[in-house]
Amino acid sequence: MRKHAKRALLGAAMGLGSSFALVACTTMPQGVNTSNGSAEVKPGGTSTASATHANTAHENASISPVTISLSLGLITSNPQGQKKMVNDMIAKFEKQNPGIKVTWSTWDSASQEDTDIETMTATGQGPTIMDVGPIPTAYATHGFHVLSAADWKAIGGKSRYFAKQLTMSGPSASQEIGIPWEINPFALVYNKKMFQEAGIKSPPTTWTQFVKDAQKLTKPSKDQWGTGIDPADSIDPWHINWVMAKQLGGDFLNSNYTKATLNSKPVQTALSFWFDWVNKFKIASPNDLDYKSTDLVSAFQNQKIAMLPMQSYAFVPSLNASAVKNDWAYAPMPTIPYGMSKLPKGGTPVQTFTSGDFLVIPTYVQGAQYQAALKWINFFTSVPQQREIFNSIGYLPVNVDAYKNYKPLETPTISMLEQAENHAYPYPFSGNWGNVEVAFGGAANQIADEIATKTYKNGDIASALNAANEQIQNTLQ
Amino acid sequence: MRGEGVQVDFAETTATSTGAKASRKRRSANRMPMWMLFPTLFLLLLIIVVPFLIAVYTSLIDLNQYTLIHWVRAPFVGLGNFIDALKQGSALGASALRSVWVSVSFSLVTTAIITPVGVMAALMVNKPFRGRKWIRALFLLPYVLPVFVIALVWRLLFLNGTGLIDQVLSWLHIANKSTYWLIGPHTFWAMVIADAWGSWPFIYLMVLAALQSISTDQYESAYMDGAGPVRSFFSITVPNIRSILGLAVLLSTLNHFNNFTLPFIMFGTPPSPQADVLPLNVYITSFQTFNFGLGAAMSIITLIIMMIPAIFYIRMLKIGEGATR
Amino acid sequence: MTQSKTWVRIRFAGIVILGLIIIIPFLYMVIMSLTPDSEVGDGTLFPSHWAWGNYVTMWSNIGLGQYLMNSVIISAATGFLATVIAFGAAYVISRFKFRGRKVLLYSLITMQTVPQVMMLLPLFIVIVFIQQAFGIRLVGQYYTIVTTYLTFALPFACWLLISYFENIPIDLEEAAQVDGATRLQLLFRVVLPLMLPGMVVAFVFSFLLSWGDVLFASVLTSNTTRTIGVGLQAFLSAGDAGGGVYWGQLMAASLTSGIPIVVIFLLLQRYILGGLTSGAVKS
Repeated sequence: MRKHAKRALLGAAMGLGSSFALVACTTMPQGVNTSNGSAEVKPGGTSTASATHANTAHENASISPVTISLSLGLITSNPQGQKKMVNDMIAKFEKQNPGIKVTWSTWDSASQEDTDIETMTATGQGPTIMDVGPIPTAYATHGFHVLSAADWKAIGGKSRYFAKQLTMSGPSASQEIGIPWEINPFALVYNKKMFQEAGIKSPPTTWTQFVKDAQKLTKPSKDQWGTGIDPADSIDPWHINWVMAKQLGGDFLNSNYTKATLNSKPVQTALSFWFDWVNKFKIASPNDLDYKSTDLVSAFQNQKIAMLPMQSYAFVPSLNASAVKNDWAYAPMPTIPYGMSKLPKGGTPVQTFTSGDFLVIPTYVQGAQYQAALKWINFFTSVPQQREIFNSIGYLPVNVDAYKNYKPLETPTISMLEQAENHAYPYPFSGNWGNVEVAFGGAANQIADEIATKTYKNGDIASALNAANEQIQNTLQ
Repeated sequence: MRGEGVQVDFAETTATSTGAKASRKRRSANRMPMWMLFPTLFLLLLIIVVPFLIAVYTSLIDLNQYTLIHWVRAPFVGLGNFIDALKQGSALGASALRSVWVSVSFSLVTTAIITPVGVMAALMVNKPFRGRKWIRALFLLPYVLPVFVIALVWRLLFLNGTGLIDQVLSWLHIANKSTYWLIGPHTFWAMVIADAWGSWPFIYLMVLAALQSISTDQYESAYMDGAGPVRSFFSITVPNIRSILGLAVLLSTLNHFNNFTLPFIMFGTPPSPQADVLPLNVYITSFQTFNFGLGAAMSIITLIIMMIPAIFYIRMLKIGEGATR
Repeated sequence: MTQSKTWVRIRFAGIVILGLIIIIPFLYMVIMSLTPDSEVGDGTLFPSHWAWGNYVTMWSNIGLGQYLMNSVIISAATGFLATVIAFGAAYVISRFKFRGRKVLLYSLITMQTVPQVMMLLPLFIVIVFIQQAFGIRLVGQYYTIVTTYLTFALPFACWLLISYFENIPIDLEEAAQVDGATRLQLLFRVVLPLMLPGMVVAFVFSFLLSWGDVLFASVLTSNTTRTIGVGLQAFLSAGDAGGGVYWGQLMAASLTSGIPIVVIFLLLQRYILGGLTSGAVKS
C-alpha cells in the first residue's frame, strides 16, 4: 500500500510538470505556423488572439506578400500608452497600405538593445526595422542600409528633420544609416521653490554662477544640496564631462578619431571641476559618490537637490508623479566654463550632445520589404504621427513642422528644449565609442573611490585619465 | 499495470535498436541501458559542446564590431587574444587573471559562509517541533526572490549614509556613516553579504533532503547501543550527508563563480576593481566594447584554471565513485 | 527519541537569529513596495503615506500576469525535463562502468565554469543555424528557451542525482533483479520511489535556475514568451532613459512574483521531507 501511495504522489508531481511541458509543446506548432505570416505577435495579445491573428495572416499570404516587423524600445514610463499608440498607428498604416502587414515587439533595456544588434549582425536575422540609440556602433557593424538620396526622398526629405539630429545619423551626410524619430536634448532641471527660498531669481548661465547659486542652496544640516553627481552610473559621467570638455575646447577623440585625447587639459579640467562639487565646493553630498543616475533622480524628486544638470525630457513623467510636481523647471545648460567670463579659444557653446532614438534597417532586408520599411518610416515621422507620439508617450517630435501651430508643443519647457536642440553637437562618430564610455566610466569610478576613502591626491585625475587614454588608444590602432 | 507492459516492450526494442552489438550478446537485465544516456549526450553536444567549440574558435579570431557581420571570415590572430587577456584585459585594464582572482575569492568566501549556516539551519529543522512548518517556509524566503531583485534591495540597503545598513551601524557605533559599501574596497564584502543572504538556502535544502533520507532505524539502533546524540551525529548523520554536502559545496562554489547578475545590478558597469568578477569582465569586453575574441579567450583561460581544482576536488571526495558495479 | 534541553535552546536561538537576518531585508522590501515610487531610497524608512496603489498599477504597467504565466511554464518545463533526462544519465553513470564515464563526469562539472555570458552568442548562432537549415522559427518559442536553460540545468541535475544515487544501496536493485524484474519495473518500482526526494530537489533547483535568469531570456524570448525576470528588469530601465524608477511597483511586483515559487515549494516540500523516513531503506 505504502508503495502505491508513493507512486500516486510521484504521479501527481510529474503530472504537474508534464502538463506544463504539454502546454509548451502544444504551443510549438502554432509558433511554427506564424513564421511565414506574422512572426511576432503583438504584445499583450492573448494566446487565442494570437492564433487567429496567425491564421488570418496565413490565409492572406497570397494577397499580402510583404510583412515588416518593428523592434522598438519599450517606453517604460508608459507601456500601456505605447501599446495603444503603436497598435492604432499600425491599423491606420495597414489601411492606407493594403499590401503591407506590420508586426512589432519591444526590447526592454539598453543592454538588450546591444545584444539585439549583435545577434542581428552575427546571424543576419531579426526585425525589419530596429529602434536604436547609439548609431556609431551600429554603423561600425556595416549591418545596416546606408540611405540613398532616393531613400531620403521616400521618407520626406532631410528637411523634414531637425538638422542637428542628422549629424548623428552617420559619419557624413552621404553615409547616413539612422532616421531619427524623436529628439531628446539635455538641459538643467531645477527646483523653483528652493530657488525662491534661497533668493535666486533665475537659473545660472555660467558654471561660476552655477557654483555660487549651488552654495546658496546647500544646507548640509538639512541634507539639502545645491546639486549632485553620479560617478557610479555607466553613462552619466561621460555625458556631462563631454559637454564641459567641449566648452573648454577639448574632446575625447581627435577630429578623425584616430587618437584618444582623454588625457588632454580640457578633459582633465572638466573632470576635476565635476568632482570639486563634492571635494572643494561642497555643493554636492559626499553620499553621491556611489550614486547611479536613478539615485540622483530620486534625490531631486525628494527635494534634497536643487539643480541637476544634463537631464532630458524623459524625466518629466516621473517628475510629475513626485513631490516636486509643481516646482520643477528646465533651463539651458550653462556654457561658460568655471572661472571664465566668456568661452575660451576653441571652446564651443555646447548645451547638449545630439541625443535621441533612430530607426535603422538591416542589410538583410531587401526589395519590396525594404520599400515597405521606408513607407512605414515615412508614415511614422510625418506630422500627425509625430504629434500622436508626443501626446501618447511624451517624446519630442523630430519633425520640425510638428511644432508649428500646435498648442501642446508650445509650452515654455518645450520651447526651451527646442532651443537647446539648436545647440546640440555630435559626439565623436567612432565605432569604438563603447570603449570610450567604459574607460571613462572606469576613471570616474576610480576617482570617486579615492575621494570616498580619502586617498585622493592631486594628479590622480590626470593619471587615471592617462591610463584610460592608453586603453582606448590601443583599441583605435 | 497493462500500460507498464507496453512500456517495457518499447524499452527493449529501443535498447536493441540503439545499443551496440556488444551489448546484444549480454541478454540479461544487467546490460547497460545506453538509451537512458542518449538524451543527455545529445543535448550536451547540441547546447554545450557545439557552442563551446564556437567560443574556442572565436577566441582565436579578431571578432569585433567590424568583423561580426562576416564572423566566419574574421582574421585569424592565433593566441593574440590570450596574450591580451593576460596582459591588458578589458577596456578598464582588468586582466583575466585579476578577475579570476576576484571571482575565486568571492565564490570561496561566500561558500565558506553559507555552508555552516545552511547545515545548521537544516539540523535545526530536521526533527519535528511545533511550528516547524512555518520555520521551514521562512528559511526558503530568500531563495524565492530572483537574484537581481536581491541585488536591488541590497543596493538600497548599502547606499552610503542614507542606506539602512550605514544608519544601523552608525547608531550601534560600529562603523562610520560613510563606509561606502558600493565603491572601492568594501564592494567585495557588500557583494559577499548580499549573495550569502540570497543563496544559503541552497545548502540548507540539499542537506535537509539528505538528512531526511536517513532512516530513523539507524538512530534507533544507535540509541539502543547506548550512543548519545553527539556520537550518533558523528557516526550516522555526518557519513550520510557527506557526499551530498561535498557536492553542494562544489556546486555552490561554481555557481557563485558564475554570478553575473548580482554585481551587474549592484554596482553597474564599470564596477570597482574589487568587484570586477570574471563574468562581468567578459560581459563588458564582449557586449559593451564588442571585443568578442578577447572575451572568449578570457573565458577559456578561466575554464583551464578552474578545471584542475574542480577535478582534484571530485577525486578527493570520491563523488560519483560510489555504488557502481 | 528525546531531544536534549541544550539542543532545544541552541535551536531556538539559531532560529531567532537566522529568522531576523531573513526577515529584516524582507520587511524593508514590503515597506518599499508600499512606498510611493519617488520616495524609495531617500533615507527615511517610512513613507509619507501607504501607496497600496502600487499593487494595482503594477499589473497594468507591465504585463505581469502574462510574464508570470510564461515563467511558470518555462521554468516548470525546464525543471521537469532536466530532472527526467538527468535521471536516466545519472542512473547509467552511477550504476554502470563504461568507457568515457570519467570524461563525461568531469566535463559535466567543468562545463559549469564557463561563464554563461560567453555562451550567449555562440548559442544564438547555433539556434539561428538550425532555424535556417530547417526553415523553422526558434527564437521566441518556449521550447527554445527551455532547451537553452538545459545548458546549465542539465549538468547540475545530473550531478545532484548521481550523488543521490550513491546514497541508495544497490542491494535492493540486485534483489529485484534476482526476482526477475525487467529494467523498467526495476526503475519504476524500486529506484524511482527511493530517488523521489533527490528528483524533487533537482526539479526545484532547475526550476529556480531558469526562474532567475535574465540574460538569455532577454535575447531568446519574444513579447509573447517574455519571462518575469525580464519584465521586472523593464521597470528598472526607465532609469536608462533618464526618468525615475518605479521602485514601489518594482518591489510590489517582485514580492508578488515570488508567490508562485512559494506555492511550488510548499507543494513539493512534502515529497522532499516525507521521503524515506518510513524505513524503505535498510543498510
